Amino acid sequence: MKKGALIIGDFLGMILEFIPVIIVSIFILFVAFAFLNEKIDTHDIEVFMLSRDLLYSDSCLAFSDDYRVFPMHVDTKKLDDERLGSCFSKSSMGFRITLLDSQGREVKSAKSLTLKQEGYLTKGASVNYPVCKAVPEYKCSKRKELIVYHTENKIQSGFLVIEVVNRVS
Amino acid sequence: MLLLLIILIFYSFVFFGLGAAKSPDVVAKASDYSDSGKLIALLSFPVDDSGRTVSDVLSSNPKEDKIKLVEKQVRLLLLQFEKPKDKNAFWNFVVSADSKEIISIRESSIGADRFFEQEIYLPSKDKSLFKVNLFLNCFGCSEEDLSGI
Repeated sequence: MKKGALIIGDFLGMILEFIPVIIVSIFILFVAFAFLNEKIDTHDIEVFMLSRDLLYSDSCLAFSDDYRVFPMHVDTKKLDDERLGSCFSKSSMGFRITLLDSQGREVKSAKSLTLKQEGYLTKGASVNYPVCKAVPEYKCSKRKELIVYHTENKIQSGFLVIEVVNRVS
Repeated sequence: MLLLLIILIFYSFVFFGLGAAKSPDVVAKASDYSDSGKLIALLSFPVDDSGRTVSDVLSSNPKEDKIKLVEKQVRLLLLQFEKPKDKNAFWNFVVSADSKEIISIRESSIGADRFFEQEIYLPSKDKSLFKVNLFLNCFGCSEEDLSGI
């Protein structure tokens, strides 16, 4: 037998020996990939972070005087669409803010929503967000925060309802 | 080789088919990261016509009638706090100084789990400290029940 044929035979033999190792390695890779790429649901925490941004930041809705910012105090003058759009922005997320008095009556409302997002976040529907529920890529939720709000020289208690639509996949 | 293939097919079924050893979907819950926002808002509530807040009254070493007024207002406010739907849950509010409870709004909580625990210390005029606690007691609440609160 020639020397070249021997080398090729050894090489093929080595490959055959490695095939089970390669198959097992690929299997382990598949398992690891499936388990490492688990879905992490961050919608709840994102809504919470948004609410804190709105209620704690001077550039959002928090009331401030010459000396300090008052967290959880809403300045009604700051509640408008333009300000909401500039104080928090994430392209996949839209939100509507409604300020209610202590009796649950609407005082003021503002939103940062695209036309499409507004369609998902139906206002006043008897069932909560029917369009949003039907589309799995979107998640909608509502958060009601107990707050204090400042109008002209008056401080009152009330609620801030934060409705959020978020593209989750 | 055939044995190896049989083993791999078996484990593929176990891991991918049955989902064995797979942890449940990971949910980043707001309740794990919550702050004292609710308590801050509660203490900022005006309790009388002069605009004095709950914290203003507490820090001024109040007399019995003022404590009763605060307790009454806080009870009304706690009723308006969001709670898990269709669950037996209630908010508790406790103010104490030197291990003595001055205001205690709580219900029987044997067997209930505690959530959203918030604590603030308020300095009073006589330089003592009031410890203010707010928490939700809930029987059989799941993570889903607590979302959005």
